Amino acid sequence: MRRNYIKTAAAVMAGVMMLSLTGCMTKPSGTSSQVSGHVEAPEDIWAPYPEEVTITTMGEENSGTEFQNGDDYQNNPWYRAYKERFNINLQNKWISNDYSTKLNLAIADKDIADVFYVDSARLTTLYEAGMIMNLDEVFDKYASDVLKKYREENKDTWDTGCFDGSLYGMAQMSYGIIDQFQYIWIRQDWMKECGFDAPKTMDDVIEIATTFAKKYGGYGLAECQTLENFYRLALSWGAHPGIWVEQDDGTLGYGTVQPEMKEALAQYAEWYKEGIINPNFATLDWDKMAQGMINGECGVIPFAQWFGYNPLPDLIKNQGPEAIFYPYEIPTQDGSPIMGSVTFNNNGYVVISKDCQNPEAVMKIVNFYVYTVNDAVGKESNEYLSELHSFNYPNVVRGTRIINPMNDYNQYIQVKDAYDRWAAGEDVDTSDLGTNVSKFESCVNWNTSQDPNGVGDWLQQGNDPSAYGIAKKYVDEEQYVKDAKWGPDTATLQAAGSTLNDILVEGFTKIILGEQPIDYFDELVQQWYAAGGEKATQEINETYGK
Amino acid sequence: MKKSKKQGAASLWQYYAMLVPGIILTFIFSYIPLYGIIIAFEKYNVGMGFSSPWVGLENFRYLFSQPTFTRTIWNTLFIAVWKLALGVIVPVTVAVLLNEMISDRLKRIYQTLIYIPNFLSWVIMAGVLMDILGSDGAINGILNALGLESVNFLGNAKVFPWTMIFSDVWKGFGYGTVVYLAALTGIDVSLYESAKLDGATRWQQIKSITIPLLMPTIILMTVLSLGNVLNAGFDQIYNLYSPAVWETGDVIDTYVYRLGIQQAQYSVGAAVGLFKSVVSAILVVTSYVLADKLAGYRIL
Amino acid sequence: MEKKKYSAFDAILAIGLGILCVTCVLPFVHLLAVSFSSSSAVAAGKVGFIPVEFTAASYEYVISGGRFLRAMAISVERVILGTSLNLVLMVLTAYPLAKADLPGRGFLSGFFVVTMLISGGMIPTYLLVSGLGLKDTIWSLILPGALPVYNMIILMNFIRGLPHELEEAAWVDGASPFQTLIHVILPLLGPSLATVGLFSIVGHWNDWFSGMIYMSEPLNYPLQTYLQTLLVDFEQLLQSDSSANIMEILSKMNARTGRAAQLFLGALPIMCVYPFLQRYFTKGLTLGSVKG
Repeated sequence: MRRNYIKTAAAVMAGVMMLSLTGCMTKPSGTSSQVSGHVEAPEDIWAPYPEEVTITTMGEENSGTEFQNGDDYQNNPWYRAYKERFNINLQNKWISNDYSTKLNLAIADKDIADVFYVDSARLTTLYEAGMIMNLDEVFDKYASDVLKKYREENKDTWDTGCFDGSLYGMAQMSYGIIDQFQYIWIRQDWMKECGFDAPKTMDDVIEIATTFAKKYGGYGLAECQTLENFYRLALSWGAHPGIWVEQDDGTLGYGTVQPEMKEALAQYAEWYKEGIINPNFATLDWDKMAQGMINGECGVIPFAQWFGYNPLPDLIKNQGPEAIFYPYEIPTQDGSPIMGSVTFNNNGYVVISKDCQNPEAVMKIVNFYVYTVNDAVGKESNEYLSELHSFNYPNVVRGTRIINPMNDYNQYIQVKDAYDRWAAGEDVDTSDLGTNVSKFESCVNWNTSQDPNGVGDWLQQGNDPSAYGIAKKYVDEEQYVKDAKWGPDTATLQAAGSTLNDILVEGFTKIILGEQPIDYFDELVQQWYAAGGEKATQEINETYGK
Repeated sequence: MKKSKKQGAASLWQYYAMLVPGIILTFIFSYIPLYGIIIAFEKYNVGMGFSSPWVGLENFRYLFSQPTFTRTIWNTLFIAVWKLALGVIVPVTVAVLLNEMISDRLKRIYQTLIYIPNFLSWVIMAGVLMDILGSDGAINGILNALGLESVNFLGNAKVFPWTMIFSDVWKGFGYGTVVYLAALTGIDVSLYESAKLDGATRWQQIKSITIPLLMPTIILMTVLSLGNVLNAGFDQIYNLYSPAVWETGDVIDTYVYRLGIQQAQYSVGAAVGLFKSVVSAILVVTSYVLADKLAGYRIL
Repeated sequence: MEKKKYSAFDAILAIGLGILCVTCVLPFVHLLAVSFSSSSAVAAGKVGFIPVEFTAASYEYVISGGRFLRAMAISVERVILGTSLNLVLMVLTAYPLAKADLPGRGFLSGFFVVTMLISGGMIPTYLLVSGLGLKDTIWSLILPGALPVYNMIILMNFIRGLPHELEEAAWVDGASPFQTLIHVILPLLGPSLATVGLFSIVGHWNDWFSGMIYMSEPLNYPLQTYLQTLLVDFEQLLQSDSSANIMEILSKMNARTGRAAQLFLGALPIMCVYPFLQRYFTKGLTLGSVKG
C-alpha cells in the first residue's frame, strides 16, 4: 500500500517532467526573426524601404486591453500600416504591464530593443551608460516638418531630452496644459433647490457648503488623507503648492512652504473646527472619499477636470441624473482673477539604441503617428483614422508616439462647436471631426438618454459651464503660473522621493485636526528645509534660476 | 542492540550525497547573486551595472540622516515584536484548543476555515478592514451597543499600531496553527491514556504532555521568526495607514518605499536590505545560542 | 467507536473556536458578494454579505479573452512540477540535517540558514536566470526557489520528532541511509509533507512577480500574473475607448469588484486542493507506524 503510493508519486513526477521538457511555452515573438542589418533608407521620408526592415521595440501592456478581430500587440492596424506603407516590420521584444521593472532589468542585462520610451531618470542613466544614440543627424534628415515644428514650439520641453546640446530623447509631450486646472464642483439639484447662483467669493462657496450640510446632512467640503482638495483651494490665497515659483527677491522657492500657504491653512483649520470639512478625512483614502460623494454626503468638492469620469457616473447611478455636479472657477480672496498652477508634463522620451541599425526606420514610425493626428484628416478615410485611434489601438504605439500638446485644446474647440450646433438643432457632419467623433457622440448620448458613461465628456467639453470651457479662458489669458522647475527633478528631489512633501502633509494634517497651532507651520517649514529642502532649493535655483 | 545504534561509517557518504542537489541549487541561486549586495555601497546605475561609482557608506549615512527615518526603526520594532510574540502565542493556543476538541469533523472544518484569511492579500483585506473599523463600521457599532465609546482604529496614532498588530495576527494565525497541529499529530496517544488513568485533568494533560512536546517546534518557529524583526508588514501598513498616524505607524519599509524605490533607487533599497539582514542575523544567532545554552534546544 | 462524553468545557470550546472561525470567513463572504455586485453599489459601499444589483460582469471580464485557461494550465504545471521538486529537495536535505551526529552538520545547516537572512536582490538573480538561458521557460519560475529553506527546517524539525526505534530497527536489518529514508522515514512523514507541501503549493500558485519578470510573452504568464495584468491601471482603462461589448461589461464593474472576482478565480482551485491535503494532517502517528 505504502509502496504503491510512492510508486504512483514517482510515476506522476516522471510524467510531469516529460511534459515540461517537451514544453508548452510559446516563443516570444521578438526572437523569432532576425533583426535586419543596415538598409539604405530612401530619400523621400514617406517612401517605403526597397526591402523589408525589421526593428524591435519593448512595450507597455495596458491592463485588459481588448482588441478587435483577434488583433494583438504584434498584429494590429498600426503595425500593419508600418509594413504596408514603409516595408518596416516592427517586432515586440516583450510587452509587460510593469514596464518600469522590466525595463530596468533589460537595461541591467544590456538587452534593450531598437526603440522604446523612458522617463527622465532612465534617460540620464542610458545616456551615462552610453547605450543610446545621438539623434541629431537622423532627426535633422528624417523628422517630418510637423515633428520639427513640435520641437520648435516646445523647445523648453525638448531641451530636457538633450545632453550637451545634442538630442538623445525625443520628448513625447502631453495632451496639453488645458487639463491641469482646478475647479470647485457643486451639486446642481441642491443648488437649484436652495436658490444659489455660481459662487463669486470663497464666502459664497462656504455658504453653499454649510447650507447643503444643514439641509441634506453630511458635511460641507469633501477631503481625503492626501489633502489634495486643500492644495487645490489654496490657489484662492495665491499659493501654488507643489510647484516652484519665483519669489519677490527673484529667487525660486517651493510653493508649499510660502506664507500664502499658512494663511490658507489657518482658514482651512478654522473650517475643520466649524465642522465644514469631512470630519473623518484624515483616514480616508481616495476611494473612501468618493464613496461619501456617491452616497450623497456632500455637495461641494474642489477637484480636477475629470470629476465627471470618476466618481460622477457612480454618483448618478446612485443618486439620479439630477444630482450632477458642475465645475466653477475657484474664487480668490481679493476678487482678482485666479492664477492656476501648471507643471512640466512630459509623458516620456523616445530613445533609440546605440546598436540600432536602422534609426531612419524609427523616424518613419514616429512621423507616421504625428501625421495621423495632424494632416491626415481629409487625406485618409475617416474609418481608417478612427480605426487607428480607437479601441485601445493607440496603446500599442505608446512607446513611439509623440503627442501634439495642443491636442485637447483643439479637440475642445471642435467638439464644443459641433455639440452647440447639434443642440441648436443643426445637422452635424461628423466626418470632419476626425478622431474626436466619440467625444462628441458621448456628449450627445448624455443629453438624449442620460447615459452616465457620457457625462464625463459632457462636463469636460460639451456643457456650459464645462471644465475645458473655463480652462480655455485660463490658457488664452495666461491665467496661470508655470512651474519654474520646467524639467526633471534635481538629484536631491529624486533621492527624497515623496518624503519631503510627506513632512508637510503630515504636519498640515495635525494643524487642521487642531493637534498643533497654526504657528507650527513655521516649525514645519524649518523641518522641511533641514530634511533636504534647503539643498533642493539651492539646486533648483542653480539649474532653473535666471 | 547498543552496538547497532550507530551505522557504519561506510554508509555515511550517502547522507552527504543526499545533500548535494540542495547545496548546488542553493549555491547557484542564493549565493552567486550575493555579489549584488555591493550596490549598497555604490551609486548604482542600471546602465553601468555593478561597476557603478563607489560611494562607501554614503547610502547608509543618507538614510540615517533623514529626520523621520529613526522613528520608523522604533515603530518597526514595536509593531514587529508584538506581532512576533502574539504570532506565536495565538497559534499555539488555538492549536492546543483544537487538539482538545472531541469531534474530529468539527476540528477539521475549523482547521480549514482559519486558514482562509491567508488566501486574501492585504490589498484586498485592507479594503474590508477599512469598512469594518471605520467610524460607522461593524466593530464600533458593537462597541456603541455595549455602551462604549467609538474607537478611531485607523486614525488615532496611539491605537493604530495595535490595530496593525491584532489584525495581522488574526489574518495569519491559521498558518502557524497548521504547523503546530502537524507537530501535534506526532504525539503518541498512549501518553494521554496513561495520564488519564493517573487521574490527570485536561489542563494538567495540556501542561505536562502537549506543551512540552510542542516546545521544540515553538522555539524553532520563534527563532526563525526573529529573522523578521525588522519586517513589520509592508503590504498591510501601506494599505491602511495615513499621514495622521505616521508618527507611530510609519515603518522602515513604508518609508523607504516613499523614498522612491519605485524610481529605481536600488542602492538605498539594498542598503536598507543589508541593514535589516545584519540585525536579523544577530538576533537569530543570539536566540539560537540562548535556546541551546539555556533550554538545551538545538533547533538546527 | 465508543461513545464520548461531552462536558461544558467542550461546548464552550466548540462555540468559542466557532466564533473565531466565523470572523475568518466573513470577509470572504463579503468579497464574494462584492464580486457579484454592480460597481455603483460597491462604490457606494452598499454591499454587505449579499450581492446588490447582481451581475457576473467582473467574472466575464476576467475570463473573457481566452487567455484565462491557458494561464491556469501553466500555473497547474508550475505547481505540480515546482512542488514535486520542492518536496524531493526538502526531504533529501532535511533528513541528513536531522541527524544530530552527522559530522559537519552545523556548518551545513548554517550554509542554508544564511540564505534566509540575506539575498542579493532582484537584479543579480535576474541576470543569473537570464544568463543560464532559463528566461521564457517554466524553469525560471521553479529553479530559483527549488529549495525553500524555511519549510525545509520545519520539516527537519518534524523528522527529529520521529521515534528513533524504527530507524534503528532498519539499520539492524542492514538498510542503507537511502533505503531507510524511503522505506522507513518517508511513510512516517505524511502529515508533515502535507503541511510543507501545502505551503509550497500556495507559494507557487500565488507568486505573480517571477512570471512577470521572466516571461517575455504574456501568453506564457501563469494565472496570478495574468490576473494581475488585468487590473493594474484599471481606472485608466475605463477612460479610454474600448470596443462596445467590453464597454458594456466595464460599465458594470470597477477595480474593487474586479479584484474580488480575481481573488475567487485565482484562489478557488487552490482551495479545492486544501481539504484533500488536510486528510493527511489529522492522521496521526499510530496510522503511519503500521508499516506494510
